[in-house]
Amino acid sequence: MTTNFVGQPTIRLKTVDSTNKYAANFMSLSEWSEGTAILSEHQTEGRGRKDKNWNSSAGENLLMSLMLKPNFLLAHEVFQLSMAMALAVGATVSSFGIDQVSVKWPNDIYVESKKIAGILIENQVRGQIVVSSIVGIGLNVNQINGLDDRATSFKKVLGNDLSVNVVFDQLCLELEKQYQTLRSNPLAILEDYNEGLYAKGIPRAYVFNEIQNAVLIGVERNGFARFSTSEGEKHYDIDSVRWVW
Amino acid sequence: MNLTEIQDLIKFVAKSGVTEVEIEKKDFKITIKAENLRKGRGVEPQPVYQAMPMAMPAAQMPAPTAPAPAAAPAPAAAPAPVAENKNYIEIKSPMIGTFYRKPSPDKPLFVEVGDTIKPGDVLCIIEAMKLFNEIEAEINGKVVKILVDDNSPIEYDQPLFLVDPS
Repeated sequence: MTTNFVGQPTIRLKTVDSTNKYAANFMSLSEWSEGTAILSEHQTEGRGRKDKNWNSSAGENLLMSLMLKPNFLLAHEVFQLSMAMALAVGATVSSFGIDQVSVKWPNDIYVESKKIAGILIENQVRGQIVVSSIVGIGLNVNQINGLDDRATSFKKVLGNDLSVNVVFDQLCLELEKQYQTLRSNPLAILEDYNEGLYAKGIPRAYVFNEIQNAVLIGVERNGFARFSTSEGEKHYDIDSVRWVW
Repeated sequence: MNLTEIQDLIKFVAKSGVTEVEIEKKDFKITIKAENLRKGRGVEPQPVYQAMPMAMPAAQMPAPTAPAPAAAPAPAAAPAPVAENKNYIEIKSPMIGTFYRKPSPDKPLFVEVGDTIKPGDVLCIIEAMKLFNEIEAEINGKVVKILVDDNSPIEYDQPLFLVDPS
């Protein structure tokens, strides 16, 4: 089974500064078709959110950027793309027999309470329309050494090596599936995202203004999360909440 | 993939400074190697490789929590020296988020007052829910005024730039 457009074509690199930067360059210098993917064995400047480096050794992990034209999305709805992509990465992890996969708001993929994948999305917006999008994905496959305490990998969970190419093929299928669902039935994306949300319904400590116990109830279409707190229900954006570990 | 697309790809690979690229699509696979281009010399800084040293924990995007002690840029805060002109066009924010005037703290501003802009030019980045959104110009014109301070929160539909389209 192959995809119709995700990973068609795939540009494979040995090393690059960052696949997202490469994709941005590619977009500005050449014609490109939706679904073009950049896959690199190594990144010298890979970054996660807030510029945490995504540490990995060459060839161990899956580092890719997917180039999309989600012009059916308005800029203020673009969080839905983030949800769809996170669901696709989560489904990929599950498909290799890994249990307890969830998406931590907004878009990290967790196995139990450890991060296995991160996503960094950069969009180009003209007027109200999202004309193009670069979805950077870093997925820990065979890395064991140098993993952060709160990170994990396929190998760490399953105990054996996996081919990055096999994981990539599966990821492309899932990305295509979720992207098509986003286009045809965005409500299903919202429901699935909330279904598999990390720490949903579980009392735990967060820092809002100060540290307190709260329960994550769910995430809305615009990306705001609802918490049940001692002062009642509150809506927060991602910058107003810190997780306490 | 047609011949033009392949030619584009080869051109891009030559420019990108990457030594080896493999392109794969359903029915074929091309490998492009550019060894000779990169041997010795090292004269031309290859754009893609011009990275910051790894050791530097590069804050590529300003952390939104940092309150930027370096005082908000004066121009936006100061009262408008320009007479309000009804022919100016306001460029408004398509979303809620945080407004950034630079791609990263150590990079130059996307646009400044007086700059000429054209459709497709990036004017600013709005970060929202960890998504980075480059806001592109839709019109030709000249930036008359920047209505929001760098690194500040913005609302949906809030005017960001005043542009003279003439």
